[in-house]
Amino acid sequence: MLHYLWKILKIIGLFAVLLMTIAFLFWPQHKTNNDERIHVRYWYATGQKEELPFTVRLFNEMQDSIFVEAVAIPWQESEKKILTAILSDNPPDIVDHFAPVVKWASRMGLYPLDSFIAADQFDSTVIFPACWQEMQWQGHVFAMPTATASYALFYNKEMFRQAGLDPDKPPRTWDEVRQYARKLVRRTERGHITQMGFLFHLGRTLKVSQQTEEPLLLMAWQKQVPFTDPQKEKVLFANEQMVELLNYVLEANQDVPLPDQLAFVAGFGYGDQHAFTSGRLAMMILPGNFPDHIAAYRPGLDYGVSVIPSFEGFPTASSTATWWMAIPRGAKHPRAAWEFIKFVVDKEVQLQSLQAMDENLFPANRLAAMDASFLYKDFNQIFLDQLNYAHSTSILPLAHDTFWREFTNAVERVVHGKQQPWDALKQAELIIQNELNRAVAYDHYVREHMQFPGIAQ
Amino acid sequence: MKNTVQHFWNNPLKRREALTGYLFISPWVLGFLIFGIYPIIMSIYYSLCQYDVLRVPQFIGLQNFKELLADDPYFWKSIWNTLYFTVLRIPLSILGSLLLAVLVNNAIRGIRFFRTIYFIPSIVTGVVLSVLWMWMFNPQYGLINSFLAFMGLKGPLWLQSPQWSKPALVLMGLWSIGGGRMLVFLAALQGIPQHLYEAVDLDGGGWWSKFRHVTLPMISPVLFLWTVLEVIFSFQIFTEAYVMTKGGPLDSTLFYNLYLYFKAFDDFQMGYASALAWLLLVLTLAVTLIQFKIGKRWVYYEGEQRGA
Repeated sequence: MLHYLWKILKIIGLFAVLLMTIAFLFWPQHKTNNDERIHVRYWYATGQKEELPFTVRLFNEMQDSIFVEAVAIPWQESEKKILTAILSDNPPDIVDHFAPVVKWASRMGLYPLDSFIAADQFDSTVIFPACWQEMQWQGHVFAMPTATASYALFYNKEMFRQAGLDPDKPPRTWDEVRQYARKLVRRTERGHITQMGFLFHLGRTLKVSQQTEEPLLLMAWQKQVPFTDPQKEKVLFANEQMVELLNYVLEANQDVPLPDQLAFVAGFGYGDQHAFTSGRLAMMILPGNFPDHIAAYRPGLDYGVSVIPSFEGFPTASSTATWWMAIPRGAKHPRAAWEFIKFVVDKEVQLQSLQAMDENLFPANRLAAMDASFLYKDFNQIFLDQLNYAHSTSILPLAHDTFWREFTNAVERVVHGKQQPWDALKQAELIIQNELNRAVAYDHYVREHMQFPGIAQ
Repeated sequence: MKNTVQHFWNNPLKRREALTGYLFISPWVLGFLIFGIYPIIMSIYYSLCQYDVLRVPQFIGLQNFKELLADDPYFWKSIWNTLYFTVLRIPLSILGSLLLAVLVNNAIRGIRFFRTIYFIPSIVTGVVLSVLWMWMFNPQYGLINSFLAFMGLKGPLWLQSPQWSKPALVLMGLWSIGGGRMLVFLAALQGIPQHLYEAVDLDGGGWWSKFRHVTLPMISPVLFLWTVLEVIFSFQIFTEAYVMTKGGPLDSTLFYNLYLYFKAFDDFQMGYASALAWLLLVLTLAVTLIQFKIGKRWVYYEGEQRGA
């Protein structure tokens, strides 16, 4: 009997050794350096490069009490990684991200920064108002904007010349855009479109892949169309102004037959296949870092940048696309994390960081953006001016994705002739409202059953 | 039974063997329980909740299922798209693989080379394949429309068209007809005894008789297996639509799993997504059971006696 027991014990022992080996191999690696600095874990989302962010290097060189450990996470997977990290109660101390802050804040995924802001008397007026507004949810600040993408109208001067248009007179109104666009269409002998002037409708894939913004959205902002009531409880998607705008887009879009347009846009891609960089689309609304993209993929391109067109008598409008840093719920070193976050938005650090980066993202700190060392760059003054007319895309935090999906789908249904504008907008409104009602009811339940996360000081 | 159990525990050799066996399978069993069974059970609970992952779940009973079946137009749209895709894809892919298997079953010179050539496309991964086919389907410059233009035909808009987007994805699926499915069919074909064909020859039957009365019945278990598997695979289509169309145009490629993904990871509606997942399981199970029921009529198993 003892013999068998001994054999079983040996097998168990073998398994234990095996498990310990596996555990040793996969155990999270912690720095074993002897410094007594607080180690702050920072996850930054990145597309390709995994090099250490300039701000981290600078901070670590200057600090003797905090050390930032930066970990690159793939951009497309970042939301899921952050989500699971918070859920497992083992999040990093800082995350940086691009998606709407309120999507996370409204779901209690982030710690509010109010106490740090108050304690350090952080001057929030240095941040662009539109960006700062995006960081808030129910009167609390949940993140710090670090950079933003201000939009403007890019136009191809060479294509303007070939079409007999003055390359120094970009369109100022949507009607002019339409007139110019008609002149800029080129076809092959077989009827295939080889170039177009402007796309009034983007569909569900081009906005992201081409880094552009939906014209209808900008038009709606220019005309100050309310998408919701002030309390953000009732969706006001179907209204006369939106119908009017949708009809305008529909009419402008019909200048080129839809099948021809669809065949044309199917060839758009990334890098040198981008619609503007490849010289196939003469006018596009693009972000402030796009000149770097052009410099990388089409250095000799003759182009100009101008204010986003508007309707006669209405101001221009733009949207923000803000990168932010925040402290996720369950972070172990929130105070130290705040020190780094605060450091990153300092004017001098932002300027140094911009000089060190390949891409010319627009600093969230207004003082940095207005500094002569930044403004001297081509077109930055235009992007700066546009930021003063920028709106946040966080229109309905509790139903954010549904809102934008339905917005896109409604336009698509109208453009494809499946529905009249009013019907399409009404259908979208009902779906968004339904989603909002469900989210609000859940939110009320959560507030009764879950403590809002605060930071232990 | 009781005696058997007593006998087992009184027999040290059997006891030792059993314990050793359990010990060896315990890592897998533990993994299965923790990473397989636990999430499955939790998803049943979450399907009855409003739950966004980051906050506490709220029990709402069958509300998610009610909403899905009664108020969600995208649910029915995604069901329709998935069934359309499945019905169009399965006959084509199975017939294609079978045809290819019959072709490469011939004892001709260099047949192994051809088998390898036909198999190679199936090893390309989903995302790469999707990007490749996006260019193949390009209405202006794509290979397919260029070929059609060469033949004097005007090609469709493929992925840009609500009418052609699903057939395009079916066509793309045919890319891998020379993969695992063809190999299994080939193995089944090679397992058919030669004397059955000789018997048809003696009866004066031609190639059609051989195929109809020998080949088809003999490979019917394999055909049945693949039909069942293909239904399950088709119900789970995701990558192609996610990479190539994002569900568009006009939701024409909003397949069930893609919709589930949007609900879970865009909207963070895990409760709703769990309900969707369970309905998919029920749907798949129902279709599979129907297939088994119908399969009894046409699947022939060697050694089985009809009516016995």
